[in-house]
Amino acid sequence: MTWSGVALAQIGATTQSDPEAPAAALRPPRLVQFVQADYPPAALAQGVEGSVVLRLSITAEGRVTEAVVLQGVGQGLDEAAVAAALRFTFEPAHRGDVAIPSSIRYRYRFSAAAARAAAAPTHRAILRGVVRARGEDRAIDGATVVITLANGTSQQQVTDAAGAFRFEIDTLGTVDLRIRAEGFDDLRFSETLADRDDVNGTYRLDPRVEAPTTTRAPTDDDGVGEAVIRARRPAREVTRQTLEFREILRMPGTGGDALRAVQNFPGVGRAINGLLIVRGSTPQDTQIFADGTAIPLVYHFGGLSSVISTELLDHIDFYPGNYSARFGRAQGGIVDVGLRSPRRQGFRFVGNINLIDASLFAEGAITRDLSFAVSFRRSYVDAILGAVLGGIEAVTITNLPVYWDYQAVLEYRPGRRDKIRLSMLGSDDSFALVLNRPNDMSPRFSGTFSTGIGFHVGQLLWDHTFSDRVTSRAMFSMGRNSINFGGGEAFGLTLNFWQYNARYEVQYQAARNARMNVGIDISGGPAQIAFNGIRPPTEGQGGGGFSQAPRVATDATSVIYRPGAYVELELTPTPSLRLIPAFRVDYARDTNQVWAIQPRFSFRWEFLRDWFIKGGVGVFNQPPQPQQSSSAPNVFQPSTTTGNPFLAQQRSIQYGLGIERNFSRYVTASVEGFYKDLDSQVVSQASLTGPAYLNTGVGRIYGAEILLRHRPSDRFFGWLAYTISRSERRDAPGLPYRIFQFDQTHILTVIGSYQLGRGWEIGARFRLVSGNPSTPIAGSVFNGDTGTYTQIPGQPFSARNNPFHQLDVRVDKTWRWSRGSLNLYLEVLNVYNNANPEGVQYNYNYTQSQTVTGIPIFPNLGVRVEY
Amino acid sequence: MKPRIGLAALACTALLVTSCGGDLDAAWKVNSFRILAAPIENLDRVESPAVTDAAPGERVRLRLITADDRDPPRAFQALWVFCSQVTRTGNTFGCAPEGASIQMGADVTYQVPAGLSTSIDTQGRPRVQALAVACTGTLGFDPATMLPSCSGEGAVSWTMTRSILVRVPSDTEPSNHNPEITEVLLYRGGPTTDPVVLDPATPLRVPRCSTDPCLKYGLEVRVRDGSRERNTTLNSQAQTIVSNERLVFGFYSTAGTLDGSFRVDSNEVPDGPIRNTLEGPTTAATARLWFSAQDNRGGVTVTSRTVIFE
Repeated sequence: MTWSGVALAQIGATTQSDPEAPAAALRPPRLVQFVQADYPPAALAQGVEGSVVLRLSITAEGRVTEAVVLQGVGQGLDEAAVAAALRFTFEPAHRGDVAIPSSIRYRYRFSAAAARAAAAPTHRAILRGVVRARGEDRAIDGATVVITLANGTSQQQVTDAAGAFRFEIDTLGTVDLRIRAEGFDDLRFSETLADRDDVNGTYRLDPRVEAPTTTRAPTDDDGVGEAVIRARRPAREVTRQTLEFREILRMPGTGGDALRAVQNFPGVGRAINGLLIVRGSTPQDTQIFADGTAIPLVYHFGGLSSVISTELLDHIDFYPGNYSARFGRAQGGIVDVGLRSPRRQGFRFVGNINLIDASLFAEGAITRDLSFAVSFRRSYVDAILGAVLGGIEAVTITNLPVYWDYQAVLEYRPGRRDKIRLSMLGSDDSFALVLNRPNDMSPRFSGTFSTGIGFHVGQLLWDHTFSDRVTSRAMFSMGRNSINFGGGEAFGLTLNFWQYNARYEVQYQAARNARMNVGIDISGGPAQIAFNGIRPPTEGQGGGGFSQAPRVATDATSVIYRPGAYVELELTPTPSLRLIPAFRVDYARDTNQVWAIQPRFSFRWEFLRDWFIKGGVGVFNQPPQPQQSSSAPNVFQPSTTTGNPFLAQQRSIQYGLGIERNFSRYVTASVEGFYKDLDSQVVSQASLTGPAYLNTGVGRIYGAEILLRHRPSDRFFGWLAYTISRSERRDAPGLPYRIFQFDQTHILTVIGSYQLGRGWEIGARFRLVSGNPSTPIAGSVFNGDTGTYTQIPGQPFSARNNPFHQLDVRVDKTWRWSRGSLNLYLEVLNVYNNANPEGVQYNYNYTQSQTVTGIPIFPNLGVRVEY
Repeated sequence: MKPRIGLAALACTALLVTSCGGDLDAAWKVNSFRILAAPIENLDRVESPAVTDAAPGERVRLRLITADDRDPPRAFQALWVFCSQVTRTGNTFGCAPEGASIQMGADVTYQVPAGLSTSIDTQGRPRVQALAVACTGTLGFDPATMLPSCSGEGAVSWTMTRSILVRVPSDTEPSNHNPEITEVLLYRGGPTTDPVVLDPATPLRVPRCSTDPCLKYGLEVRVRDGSRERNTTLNSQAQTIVSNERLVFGFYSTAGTLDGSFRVDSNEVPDGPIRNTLEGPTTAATARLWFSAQDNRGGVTVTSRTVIFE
């Protein structure tokens, strides 16, 4: 039982004097961590109350070694008081500057009325966590954690042997943490707490770097240390998966890349060409946000690395379904990437070089309130492919494949109530080659082929705390997304989208157990689409080659305007139950101009201690792609348009129900079932006389996900994720359901990483995934107009490749010194060199075929230096 | 060499370059019976080379040109289905029953019906769609299902689609003509030596491959001046572009090894030589060679030569 309302009185201090010590000022001990005693139930029931007077012996370290009852009350209260007092922590008594042992008299008062009144928890939020040494990942015992609440009051605790601390907080809003430990730089961090939040974080301290000179003494405003990837109890979503920093850096098979690590979660299919497949949805159905701004891609070239530096990440939240109403225009999943605040004291540099790319990261303080972070990465793929393809006569590389990305953050904190951040994000992938000889399948498939995809966006973010009840976030971003594909004379696509995103959200703590989030979310801008090629074939039907398919050409600019608004309630009628009804509306001017109404509801209930049941149901709409809703005329058939401007928004109704169990601080397990009912799906039409696209598609996706996870401990982290699912589509009424292109029945991922000591760590990842569906070729017809063969596809996706299985291993060795660390790692992909089937290649007339396999064994050696 | 192979596989996977496939039959290799082309010749507009389109009421001749690795080539039966009322195009086409007509034979004549209005192509112009089946066995056809059949031991059959562009009074674009291959040259030891003109009627005798590496012969196809006709197309901005046709050249052989099946005349150097290389077999053999030239408006021509490797 926890209770409050106890008056504590420090009665006096007696010290053991040292006769040899010179006379100096005596300062009595001060209680810094009070522990509430358990009120004996029998005494409480009988209304027994009173004060227990104790004599406490306190060491020079501030710990209580003895508690003797000088004046008791009986009925179990004396024992309860002693037990609680032995867990007190004091700032020790001092003689001058020297801490000394002491003993004091302490009155512990029990009030039955107050205890009854406090029978229900009085705290409104919990802030807890573990403090660890960065890099070594060991728990720090005895670190001092000071929090300053929004009302200006402070609390302080000392971490236990496991490095853990826990605050129960009444005042909501922004909480500033400051963590101090001997031999480490201070860490400052901010959390925003809402009612019933349970923030559970891992806070890593940097070993202290002794500066050769100092210009001034540190003050309380010196923010230092490193932000962390923190784990927060799911609040507004049914399922949210988060990663800790060590998991990201050491995860085998991901190259220390945070966003690639997402691919290992349950519900995420094996990526095809680096595309995220979430719960059987097409990759275009999953939105990626960077601090609220939608970005068009998440991975460079086929998933080699992500487009945002891991060093700059604050968190990655992945929602496979039933996500908050603040997210819209997606019927698949959500990846929400948050950039962290740059450090507010000193500077830090990180360099990372491996066989694929190299990156450099820097951050630091410009003034007390102004800090920055910059990151840049460039690939080496051009050098590798240049060496390989240089020997192939049929190909001339004119622009070797290269990718690069950058991020720059400037953050200003004029006060504790405001944070203003200006960010620039950009990414670019480009590649061009010349096929010197026409392809056997299609002679027109020759000439210069190029691809380019990139984005550059500037973002202004303003977090403001009006009071401990009202906070807001305003975001405006503007930039350009561009996609270019050139396929000889047969195909050309240029998409330039000058996109803006504006978002404003207010969080209002209406009552102790009710919180409301209200926001508007607008996206739009002019989009230029120039296209010259074939009309994309119906999914699963194959194209028949560029030489035969109907041709389409257009070059037009349309203005996209897609406003949305949402309101969401977070209700906690009991401490163990959270209900979240929500409502969102979205409009797209480039569609049938009907507001998409999306009610959503989710809940989470701790029905037994550490047992949770969670679920949700909701409507999720997604507008068609700009080229699908384009009203631009087809140059080759001016009476028709390249798209269909009367398309409706696609819709999925998502259902989810699951159960979670926390077995220990480290080990958790969850099982979740899901069902998605899709309708109004956009389907490409084969008819030349009708619209190019119609909303005739429907679909159903159902399955279950299992996650058994061991969060990072001193030595080990890992998990087992298994997903079983089935994704089906029906392209038009009257047709049978068929397997969807991205269906993967079984997805098993097992990951483990173990610290061997002395800076060595070894990890492995094993994946076993069902083969991708494929459409068999039933035969072919010779096309006399072009001189090539046209495939006759069989039943769409009625065949399947053999299963995929692959083992990746990673070994790390880290050296540390006072100013930084050096990490050398070797990551070997596909250790046993399995020839995983990725597709089927046919001869010119489709009478012969052979399997195309994925990457063979590939070692990647890298170095990460931190200073 | 293992690392090299591994890197190449990685490169192929990343680029999806189809050139990486190595164990599949190349298109140039004639190792069975197959259809090479079906030229269209307008019989009512006597021009040389032949006009490939036809106005309603005009007659066109269509010939199936085939290749076979057997000598002499296998006899075959052929059937044509013409459709003047196309309801669907793409990988397959649909036809209204009243617009369909059937003819037998490898060389047929078809009269474009008057009043054609429902047939369209990808650029909105009328077309008659044709489907031909060539069978080295016994050819059958079920009018009810409109499905052909080919039976007989070892019978080989191929189906071909072809379309006839129908001129309408509003057409201002000059008619398209078939390209014309004037001569085929063979270079002994590469293009730096004096070439030999391959005679259609007289096989040329050359040494087979007896050295390592093999001696490679150069092949060059020449077309009549004007084969790359001026024509008008639209770009993606709906702007009218007047340019020469781009020709695709096909090379086929029953023996030896050709360096790829196709060549495309370059837009940068449209009158540049169209060349390929032929490596002789290590044993004596007769290679029958076919050369095709195809424009991007349906015109096509095929010629053949014979080279004996001794």
